[in-house]
Amino acid sequence: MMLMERLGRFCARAYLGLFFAYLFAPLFYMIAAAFNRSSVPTLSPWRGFTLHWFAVAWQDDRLWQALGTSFLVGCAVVVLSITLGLAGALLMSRLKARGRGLLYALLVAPVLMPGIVIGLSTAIFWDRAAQVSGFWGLAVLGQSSFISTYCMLIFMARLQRFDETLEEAALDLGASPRQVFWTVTLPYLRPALFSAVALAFIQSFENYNTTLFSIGIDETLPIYIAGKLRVGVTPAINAVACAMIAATLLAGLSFELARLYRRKRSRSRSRRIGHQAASS
Amino acid sequence: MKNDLALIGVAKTFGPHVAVQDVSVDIAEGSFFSFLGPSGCGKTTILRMISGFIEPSAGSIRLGTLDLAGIVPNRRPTALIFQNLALFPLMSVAENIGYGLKVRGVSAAARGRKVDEMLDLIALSGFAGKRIEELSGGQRQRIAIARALAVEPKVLLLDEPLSALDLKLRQHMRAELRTLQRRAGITFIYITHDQGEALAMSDRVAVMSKGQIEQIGGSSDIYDNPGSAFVASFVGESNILVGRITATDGQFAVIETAVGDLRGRNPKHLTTGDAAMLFVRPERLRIAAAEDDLVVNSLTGDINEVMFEGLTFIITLRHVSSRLVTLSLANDGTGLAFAPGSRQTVSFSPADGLILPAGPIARLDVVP
Amino acid sequence: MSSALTRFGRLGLAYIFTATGLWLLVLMLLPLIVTIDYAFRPFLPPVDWGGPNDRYTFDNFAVVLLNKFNQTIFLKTIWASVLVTVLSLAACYPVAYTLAREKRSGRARWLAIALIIPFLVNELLRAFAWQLLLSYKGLFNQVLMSLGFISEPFDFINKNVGVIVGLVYTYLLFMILPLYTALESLDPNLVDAARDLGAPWWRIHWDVVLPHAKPGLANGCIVTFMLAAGSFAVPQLLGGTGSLWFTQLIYNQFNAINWNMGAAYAFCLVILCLVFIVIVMWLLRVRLSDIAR
Ligand SMILES: Nc1ncnc2c1ncn2[C@@H]1O[C@H](COP(=O)(O)OP(=O)(O)OP(=O)(O)O)[C@@H](O)[C@H]1O
Ligand SMILES: [Mg+2]
Repeated sequence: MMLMERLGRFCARAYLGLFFAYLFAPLFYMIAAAFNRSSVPTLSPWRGFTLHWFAVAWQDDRLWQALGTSFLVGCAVVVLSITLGLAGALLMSRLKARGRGLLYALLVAPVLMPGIVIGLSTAIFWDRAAQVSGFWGLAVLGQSSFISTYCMLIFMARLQRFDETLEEAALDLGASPRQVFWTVTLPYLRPALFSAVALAFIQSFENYNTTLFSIGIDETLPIYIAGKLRVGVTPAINAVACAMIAATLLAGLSFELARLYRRKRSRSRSRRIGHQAASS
Repeated sequence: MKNDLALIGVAKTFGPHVAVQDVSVDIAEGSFFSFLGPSGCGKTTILRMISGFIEPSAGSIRLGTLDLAGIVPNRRPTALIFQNLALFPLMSVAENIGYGLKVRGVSAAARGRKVDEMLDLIALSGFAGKRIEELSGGQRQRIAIARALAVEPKVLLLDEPLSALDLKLRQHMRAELRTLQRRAGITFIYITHDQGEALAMSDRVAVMSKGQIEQIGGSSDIYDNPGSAFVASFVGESNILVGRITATDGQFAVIETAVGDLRGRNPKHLTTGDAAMLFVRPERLRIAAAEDDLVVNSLTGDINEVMFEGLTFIITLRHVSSRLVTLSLANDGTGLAFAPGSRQTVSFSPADGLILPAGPIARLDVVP
Repeated sequence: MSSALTRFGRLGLAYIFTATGLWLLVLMLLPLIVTIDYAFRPFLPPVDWGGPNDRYTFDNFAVVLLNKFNQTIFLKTIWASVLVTVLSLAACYPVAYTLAREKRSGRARWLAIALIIPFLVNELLRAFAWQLLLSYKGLFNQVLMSLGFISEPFDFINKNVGVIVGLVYTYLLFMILPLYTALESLDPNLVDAARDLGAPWWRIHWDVVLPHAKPGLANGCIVTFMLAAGSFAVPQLLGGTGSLWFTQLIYNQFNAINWNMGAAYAFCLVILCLVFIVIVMWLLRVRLSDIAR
């Protein structure tokens, strides 16, 4: 029995190891290939260490332009999705009318819709309705239709734990609805707001399917990468991948550190309070 | 007076459910008024109608000559203390108290002065910079009141503000609330299901049942002269005996009950044959001495149980008809002269028995 | 409604209703309706719009579903997506279970973070990483050949292997997270009790753990299937010209400006996803509210 159990645990460990190797090995391979002097992205044969491909990527103007467009689209999506998602969340969590279930299903549906269908229908609709052909603005609209849902879900999760009497108390003390929103509701929503901004930006930045159909001749980073991958791949694309991964990790790390720091500060504050209570 | 609050025929229905029905009451400026009633009888609904969060389905609410209909909560001269206090957790004590002034655009300096004044009033000066989570329950209570008073409302509405506190603090806060009300000099409307609180603090009390007012009066009036079976059973303890009137004379009547014919006051002028209930407070019953010559209102039975409660002994007597009768005896320090199981006769004066028309009584499980 | 007006004010209500309304209408419903309308109309030059030929017809769908070439690809997309879902489930279940059982340890926290990192990398780049490994002259073929297992490179890309491996890899997280969430709430005492009663490990999983994880399972399967069937980047990079994916047909029509046909393809894809959802819910006997949380 003991033996069986140990064997079982060993198998579990080994499997976990394999699983994570499966997750990471391709990425490491891709990163490592960025440093090979070879003209195609590979590790074998190894032709010596170089940073040449980073320089090549750095000097690619199209890359910078795509990065710029990605930022532009990302920021626009953040603004639009937060605006729409917050309205949806307020509607869903405060208005207890009939038809709520149907409305919820409608608002959640976009995240279950294949991204290319959203992209296609956005392109068709704007072409038909306003003779607008694809450009970055359409990508913003297409992406926002489902990113707003993510934002809404984040806000709803936070609003669910909101004590609504706080708003009533503020109203009762003479605040106008607008003042209530800025002084009571929004401060409470701040953490959710940060998460929603981060998520919306990342989602937009990564999006390929929806964007491909609605962006027309403009180019975001994923569109640029896809274009590079279609014709004549060089390790420069590995260098771009490497830089993106580094940037992502850095952002994630600083986000996590900021969170830890906040938590530690609030914990030390509560300890201080405990101390005061004990000494008084 | 100028700022008397009047509810005139106020009603509120939620769909088919009638939460409040035909409530009319006048509340004098500067008085401490309570709505008392069991859970779910519509107290909070009344308060929320006064503060403007709910529109009445019928009737009107006036402050002096001003009809409050259509005035939104943030423009009403009322302030509400919420059941859970609803202090803003992300703001300091000073920011909480100054909030109402801030949203009115009062300058920081004037706000600071008002906050200090309020903190003085509630005896918490020096707490301005504290955070809400650093305060005890009683302190939070007082901050909530200070926050409401800072906007100088004409009427302060309190929704069971003490229910979250422990017993000792609750009793302390009763006195404190009363003092605060006198100092602030404005109308307090207080709602509670705790009759002790209502009777101790209020100038006048309205007892409610199922969305309607059963009786309005001063504390001792409500306690000594309840107007209905519901009020008599809800306010204070009573022995309740159900029966039928067999005779009447002047202010008194005789009611035939399971424990025999008993005599009591008949303020509602019931006549022979009417279904009625007799209410006798435990403290008005006494153990009869052997030499007493008892002709009326005597009940004989075995002592079932004796509970010592400090101020009093609570004694239950099992009547020969097997009904239980409760009496309380003041603890005068000499102890009890009898043991559980002994046979005793108890009696009460006809003036202490109250006969009212039979009616619904407060279910015991809703009285804490 | 009067209480909502009190709460939000006129301006607030106006914002809430306009924003939600625009979102629903302009970003979701109208584009969808126009697309469906397109799917049922023939592809015509603009001069013929509104003309006698511009009428509702099933012609587009006949092409999508009856054309042999399209049929093969449609069916391939279905079975390959199902296979991807099953493989993901098989690969993720042990990991999710182990993580959920060790949730208190600090190690599990690090593992969870490690799990998420690859998914912060762009989908295209993840597929590209696999392309490096699986291509004709890629690492796998080099290793297999040098070890003498095969004498000439194996065409992973055109034999559907690439797509399937890539899709599993790309959407693992969407299987693991719901499974983990569901398994995390399982009382470990239940497992111990079952073991105490002498149940073999596979019975424990079949009788105790899996039923508990059912909502997470359904959620994971549905999302993985839909992402796989609707994926475009992965088949584009890891499927050769010999193994097209249904979404690529949509894109080809889109590029050829035959948007009517493209819409018909898209319509079929959405219907396929809906059918899959219904089948999974029926198989696992779960309700929508169990899944969508
Ligand atoms: N918004 C509402 N919709 C429907 N019914 C309601 C609503 N608010 C209150 N009610 C009902 O109206 C009745 C009175 O409620 P109210 O909150 O006024 O009671 P209460 O006297 O304050 O009780 P408690 O002592 O428990 O706070 C209850 O039966 C309650 O279920
Ligand atoms: Mg209440």
